[in-house]
Amino acid sequence: MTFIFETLLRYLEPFSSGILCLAVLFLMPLLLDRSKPRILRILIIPAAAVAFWLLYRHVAASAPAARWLGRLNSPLFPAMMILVLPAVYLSRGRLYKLFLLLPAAFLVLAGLAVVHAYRGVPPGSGGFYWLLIRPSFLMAGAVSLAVLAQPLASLKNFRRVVRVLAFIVLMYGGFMFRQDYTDYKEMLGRRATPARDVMTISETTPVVREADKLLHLPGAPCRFSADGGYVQGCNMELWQRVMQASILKVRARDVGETNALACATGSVALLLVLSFAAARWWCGWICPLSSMGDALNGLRRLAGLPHLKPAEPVKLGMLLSGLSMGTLGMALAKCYPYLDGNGEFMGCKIPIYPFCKICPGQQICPVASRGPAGLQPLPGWDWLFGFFRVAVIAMVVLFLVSFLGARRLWCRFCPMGMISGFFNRGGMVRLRKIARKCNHCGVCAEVCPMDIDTVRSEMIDENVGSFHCVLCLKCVEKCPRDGCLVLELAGGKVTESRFDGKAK
Amino acid sequence: MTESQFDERYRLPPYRMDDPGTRKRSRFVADQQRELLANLKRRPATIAFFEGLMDAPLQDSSPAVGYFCNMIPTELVWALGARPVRLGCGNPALVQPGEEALTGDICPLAKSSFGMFMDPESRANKCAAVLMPASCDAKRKLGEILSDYKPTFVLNLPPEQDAHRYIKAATLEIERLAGFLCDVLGRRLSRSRLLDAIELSRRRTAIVRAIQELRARKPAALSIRDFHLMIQASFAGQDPEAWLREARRALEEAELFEAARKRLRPRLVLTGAPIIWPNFKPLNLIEECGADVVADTLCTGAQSCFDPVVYDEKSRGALMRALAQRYVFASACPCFISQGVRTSRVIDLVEEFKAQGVVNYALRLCQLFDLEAYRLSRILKSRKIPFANIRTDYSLEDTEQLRVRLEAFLETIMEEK
Repeated sequence: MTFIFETLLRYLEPFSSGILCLAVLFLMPLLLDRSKPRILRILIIPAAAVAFWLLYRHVAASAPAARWLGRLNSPLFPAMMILVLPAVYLSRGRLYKLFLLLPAAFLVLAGLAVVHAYRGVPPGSGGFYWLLIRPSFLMAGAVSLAVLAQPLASLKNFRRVVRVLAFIVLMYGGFMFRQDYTDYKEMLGRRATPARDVMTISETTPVVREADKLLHLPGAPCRFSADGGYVQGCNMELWQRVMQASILKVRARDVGETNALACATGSVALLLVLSFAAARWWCGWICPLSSMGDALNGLRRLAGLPHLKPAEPVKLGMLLSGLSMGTLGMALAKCYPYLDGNGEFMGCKIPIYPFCKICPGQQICPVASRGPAGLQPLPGWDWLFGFFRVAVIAMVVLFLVSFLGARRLWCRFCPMGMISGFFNRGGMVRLRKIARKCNHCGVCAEVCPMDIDTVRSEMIDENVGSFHCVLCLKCVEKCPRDGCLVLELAGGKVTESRFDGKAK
Repeated sequence: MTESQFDERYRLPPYRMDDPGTRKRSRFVADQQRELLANLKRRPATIAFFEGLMDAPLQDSSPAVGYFCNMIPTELVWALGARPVRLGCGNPALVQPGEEALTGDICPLAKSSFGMFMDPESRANKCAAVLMPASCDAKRKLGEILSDYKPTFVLNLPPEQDAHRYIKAATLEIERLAGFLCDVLGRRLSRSRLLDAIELSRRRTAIVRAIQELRARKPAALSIRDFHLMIQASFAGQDPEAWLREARRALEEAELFEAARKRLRPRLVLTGAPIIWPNFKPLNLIEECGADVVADTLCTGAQSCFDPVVYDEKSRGALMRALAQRYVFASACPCFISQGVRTSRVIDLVEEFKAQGVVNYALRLCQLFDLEAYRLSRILKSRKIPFANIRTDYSLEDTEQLRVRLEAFLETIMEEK
């Protein structure tokens, strides 16, 4: 059994490469182009995959190359290529029912993987360790669940399914989905040691942790979720790592520093692939912070209260303050190499992850994943003269107020989202409007949680994506005209507006 | 009490005309149209139900509220426990009395509608109130005239369909309308009943869309005249559940129909002014000339039920906004400064339903539709879509003339094909 899993993982390793995923996405328009010969369209992707597989195996024979290639791998990509892309592009016919056997098989495989991991538990120490499962199997399993749920659910409920799955993995994955028994035990060991001071904590240990490698996701998969969370963190955490690197040390060929920078660079490349593939879709469907925010928003809706419609200056203010907070955090992270033993630079006490200290995620995620025990102490007044204490309180209040009162106004502040926002136009996903089908009712603008008017007002340009759009597809869900709003991935239709609310 | 929109100092006693001759003539016109329809080859078994609704007496169980046009949120009326009755009148026999009282130079729809109010026994006079959008000059002034007959509310519309600029004003007007209705009916508007009413009309939308989609595939399954009759029967203020049930049955029956062979009748999209029972003259003509209307943008046809009210949040304000969005900003009425909805709808229908031409029905003396036909014809011609304009009124004098024109148009279409 072990042998089978190990072999499977080893031979499938090239398929978890971000480079291949990018190549497949680029080849997709060719596959979807009906004017091309059929045989070419069918063969192009398998041919590319086989060619890449051979090339990968060849290149990976050299150790440094293998290390770099490994940094560009992510357990997300196989699930994305084998499950998500066919699910997106296959038309819903008999063939699709046949295809659904694949995710079903993956679910079974994931189940087997859990059973297998439980076999690794030494005899006599039987007990409950949640689901012990390798990341690639977990991702495939979670994606399979979503793919299987999609035909049963409306677009609205499908989004809910995806958000709940993502929330569970990213918030509770730290203890729920450990890789194996030893990993679980180590996690328990870390839990037993009393938490270090919140301002100096340097490393958490997420589940997806391999030597020489980091995995960050767009959106806000916070590293401060219980027991280190599932992945290393969000993109702001990554940029802080990049800023922390001391160029002087790298120039002096310091091995540790160079390695850290290389890891971060690999993760940046991965992050760019993910953002390029799905832009701010991560914000709308995956981000656990916004899932919690939406729960708050749901409370308001339940109470039947109207939401605030922020004026333009408020929206611009959120954008500017988000930008300045992000910039400040990055600038302070630059001080890291110069901090003395006391954590001071030029007489100022500065935490090593300064942006995390003002991000509400660091306060909210631990509480959400561990209950009241996760409550983090506030930074002391001595940290950069009280700025961090004031800022963190202000941010948490702003977070709660904007989600409770103004839908997703917060997401106009979020610097993490802004980075993916650059990919909203020009990335692989495109929100398209067939203007001649539009009846000008303005429902798209009314339901937009980001309060964007472009989808309503744009009548000439078919591409109605905009910087702030989180691709939550609420406009697509509510649009009463069939086929007026279309979401496209790599030039192929993913879903479109339908009166009956179905996702596909 | 909401303030009256009309000058109380100059209220007049209603001017009536109790003329059995007119009543008889108007019944005769309806019977004639019924006979024409009876000659159709295929009709759903339930069509008698819909025909019956058109002149069924209004029950006294709940108050009826009359309304004009497609821009009155009837959901509000349902939610208040009353029944909306669309009063826009298509009876040629009532044009003359209306003309004698008002003037000859307004559209036959306004004249015959007023003619209906003059008859004390008409269903218009059974209504508790009249709602009317200020969608054209005739409606605006007719509102003031009718305020002598019934408590009347004229719904102000923004001049442009720019939701960004006018949504607040339009929502306030809808709120005002709700206030007026609450006062007249002496009831309070509850959110849950409004939601139920919206759901009810969404169900009607679903059926109308399904029938339209079916007719696009096999137009012979259901005549456009029967389709419009069904739709207009749902405005007659009768039990909506019964309507939904029978419409579903008609749909199921039409679904079973399989044409013996593919009919090569020309497929047309019909746009323009409302065609109201019993004046189905343009529809009669088109079908008699051997063409099928596969889709329409008439505010008395499929377009009237095509767009549903879409809500997301359920607060009162949000629901009122949703009503404004559906009834004001999604309207295809030519009364707005710029009307892109109808133009793009026509172009889209031609493409989607593979129609070979567009027929515009311009009601004589309706300047709005008449003027819009100019640009519409040029836009369609620039897209190589054949276009014919029929300008006529309720009278039957020009029937043969129009028939010749239509036949010529259909011939050119078939040649191009």
